[in-house]
Amino acid sequence: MTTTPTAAPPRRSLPGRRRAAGIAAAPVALALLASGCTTGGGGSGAGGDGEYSTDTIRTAMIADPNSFSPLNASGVSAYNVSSMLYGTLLYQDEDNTTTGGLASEYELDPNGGTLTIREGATCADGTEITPTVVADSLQAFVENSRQKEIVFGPGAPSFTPDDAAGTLSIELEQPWADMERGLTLSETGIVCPAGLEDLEATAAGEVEGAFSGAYTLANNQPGVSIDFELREEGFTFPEYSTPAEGAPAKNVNFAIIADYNAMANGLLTDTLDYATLVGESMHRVAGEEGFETSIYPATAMFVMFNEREGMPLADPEKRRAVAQAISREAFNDAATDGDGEVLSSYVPTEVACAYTGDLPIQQDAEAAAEVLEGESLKMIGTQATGPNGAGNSYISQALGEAGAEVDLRNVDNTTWATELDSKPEGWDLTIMNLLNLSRTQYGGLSQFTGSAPEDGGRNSTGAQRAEVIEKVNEAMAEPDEAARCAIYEEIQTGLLEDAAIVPLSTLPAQPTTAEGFSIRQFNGTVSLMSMRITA
Amino acid sequence: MTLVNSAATQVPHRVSFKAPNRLVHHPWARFALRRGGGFLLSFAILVVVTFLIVPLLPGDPAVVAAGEGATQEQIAQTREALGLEQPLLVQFWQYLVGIFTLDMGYSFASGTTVTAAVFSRLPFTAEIALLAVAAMLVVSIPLGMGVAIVTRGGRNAWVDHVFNALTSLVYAVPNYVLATLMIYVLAIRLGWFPAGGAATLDALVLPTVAIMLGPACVIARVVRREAVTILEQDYVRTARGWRLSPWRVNLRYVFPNLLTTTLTLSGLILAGMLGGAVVIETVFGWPGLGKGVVDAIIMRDYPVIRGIVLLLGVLATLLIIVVDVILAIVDPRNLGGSAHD
Repeated sequence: MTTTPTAAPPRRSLPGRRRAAGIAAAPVALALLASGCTTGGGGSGAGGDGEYSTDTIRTAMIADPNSFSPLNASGVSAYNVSSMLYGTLLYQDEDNTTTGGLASEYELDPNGGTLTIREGATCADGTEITPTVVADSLQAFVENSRQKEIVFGPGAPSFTPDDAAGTLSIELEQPWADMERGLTLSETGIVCPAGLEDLEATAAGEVEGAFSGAYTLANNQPGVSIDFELREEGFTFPEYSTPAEGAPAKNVNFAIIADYNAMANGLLTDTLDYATLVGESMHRVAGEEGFETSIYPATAMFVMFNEREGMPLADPEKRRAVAQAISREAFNDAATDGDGEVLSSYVPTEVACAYTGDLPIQQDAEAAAEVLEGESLKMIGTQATGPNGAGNSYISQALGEAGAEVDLRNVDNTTWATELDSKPEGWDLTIMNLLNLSRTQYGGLSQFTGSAPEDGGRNSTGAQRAEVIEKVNEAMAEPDEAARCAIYEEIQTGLLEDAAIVPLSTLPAQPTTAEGFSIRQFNGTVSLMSMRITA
Repeated sequence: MTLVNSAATQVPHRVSFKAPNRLVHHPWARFALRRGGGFLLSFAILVVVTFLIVPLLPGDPAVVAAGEGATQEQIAQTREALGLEQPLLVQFWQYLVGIFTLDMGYSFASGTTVTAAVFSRLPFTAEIALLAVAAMLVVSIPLGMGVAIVTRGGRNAWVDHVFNALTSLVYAVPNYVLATLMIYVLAIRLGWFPAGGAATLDALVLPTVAIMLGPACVIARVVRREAVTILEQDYVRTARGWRLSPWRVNLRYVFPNLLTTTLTLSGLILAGMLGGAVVIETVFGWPGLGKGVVDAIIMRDYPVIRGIVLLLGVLATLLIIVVDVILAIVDPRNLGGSAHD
């Protein structure tokens, strides 16, 4: 553990700045009063605990969370908030393994298993976290969350708490080997009884007794900031195989900053201690003295086809021709400026059992032209696929060079999501920019296999691929990881041969910490619970 | 009678019509009626326009509200819960009731009430806009007046040339370029100010300067032009003939006559700053209403779009009324009609 003397000066104390600002502000004191004096002190160097120069981590998130409840969390901001406020039974650890959280011990297999709930764990209101409390929360998750299938599979799980023994047994209706990974998702965070009593107030962050995690919500100003405060007792941090160095922050302040360059400015001028950067802002701090950076795949991008009856790309020959027309490297250059990793699957290489070999369909412009010449194709894509949808433009251009007449529509995320599922006649191909925070094979597969949206599923392609679902079920029932990976490899190569998708590249993100702070990532996801003050 | 008033007598007062009711006949009452009527009309238009935002913009609000990964069934349930399948007139009535009870629903993006989502940003917008306008007036009025005085009667023509060139140059540079330069030099290289955020008082300096420089150039040029004209007026010459000190002449007889134009323009600039500082708010990561409405549009957060647009519209209309009232107090001739009319 790195320590500094108690008398260490606060980070960049700049009295001159405040004096200058004070002079500038003096003539308009009335204006400040009228506006409620929103600005105040804080941040850098605020109150050390005697061991470190600060007890606060100042960071940022790109948008407000949609909810303060893990049960209906959606999007990265909500996942981050949930991971701060609610403890999960398990956490991700190195090399695609898991480690204990609220569960101190666990024995899990594809059919279910038993978890021992950690002794002494309490909710923020002091309520003991018993197996019954955990079972009730998981049942609420099953009833409310859209991630239920990712965690427990298609069947209904049953939870049997034994408060005397301190254990919770889970029995799955259908084998689901992903459950162990699923129980690390922040959406499975344990909501305490006070929170379950009033789900609406919990979603608004108004029930302090709902929290089971290391932090409580100290302040929420929508669009401005969210502040968290470390609890005094009854919480636990993950037991990583390599323990995190340094001290957890007593206060974590998230500013809502909707621009990555503004976040980079904040890091460079000492108003932020940690931020995850995306796009060109990554280059502004990478290699700069005083910062530590790493890269992880924020999303995986691949071409997805509308395979409904009567649509041109329901024809596998045409889909293969599209795959032949595309260069993944050129796409990566267009969409990520070459910062991404070229993919061979619908999941990043960090995901267990990801296929990383050669593509069965290689680029062949001439062969593509023979099939695509004169073909009219409607492409819809989000502007988030590279700067202003540059990735979409590349695909459109590549197909155009192969002789296809491509009608490309670059739209915002909402229009894209609306039209993909509600106007299936309006598109032939699109680029899926998949977050897949579960980092599982099924998290990727569920986007283009299984039931179509019109039948209650998530598969926007309209092609059910029953044979793939069968193999997925086979993999989920397989307790041996090597054997499971063999099945997944078969699934991936089969889908690639059929050109069900065309893998493209990852969209990278760069967690960046200033000197004196650290954060770790596991299997391609950043863990806020590993955030520490180190100096 | 002051010399200002003697100047005023050169312009005939507007004809006043006799009304049977004394109260209505009172200039301030007529002023209040006219402004109140204008406000109500503007408010009604704002309400209709903000209501129509949802049906007119592309994309299904229910898809946003239902969240990532929602099935068609869940989206349909959300649409029903939001009342989006009801007839437009019913939705409009509910919207009206919501406005007058300050219950405009919940943000799709943050799940908080629209009132909280909007009013959490309002102080930041008010802070930067009021500070910028105050700084703008403090800089531009003395500058414009000073240049007019120094160059009166064709003297020191080079000062005029430098002033014109500099104000043109600064005004011509887009504020986001100025903002980026200031961040690079003053924040990143010299470390004098933070580059963004709203956590400390000194974070106000750069965005305020970036937002006020362009308008300050406009006001300074207007003040200079007005001051040149006023300095040639008979009453100013008379004041000089009385051997009053230049300070007294300028402050007592020139400055008050600049206020009508300056305040009118400043009011409009302030109204524009309330919602129009999007670029500056983005560059500095300042959590204001302008950025808020753009983010809400991108995320199709319709309730928040409605809330912010309505609030900005009401604030802008009220600001213009406040400016009119100040102008009417400064010069009662304005009671007959607004400087904006």
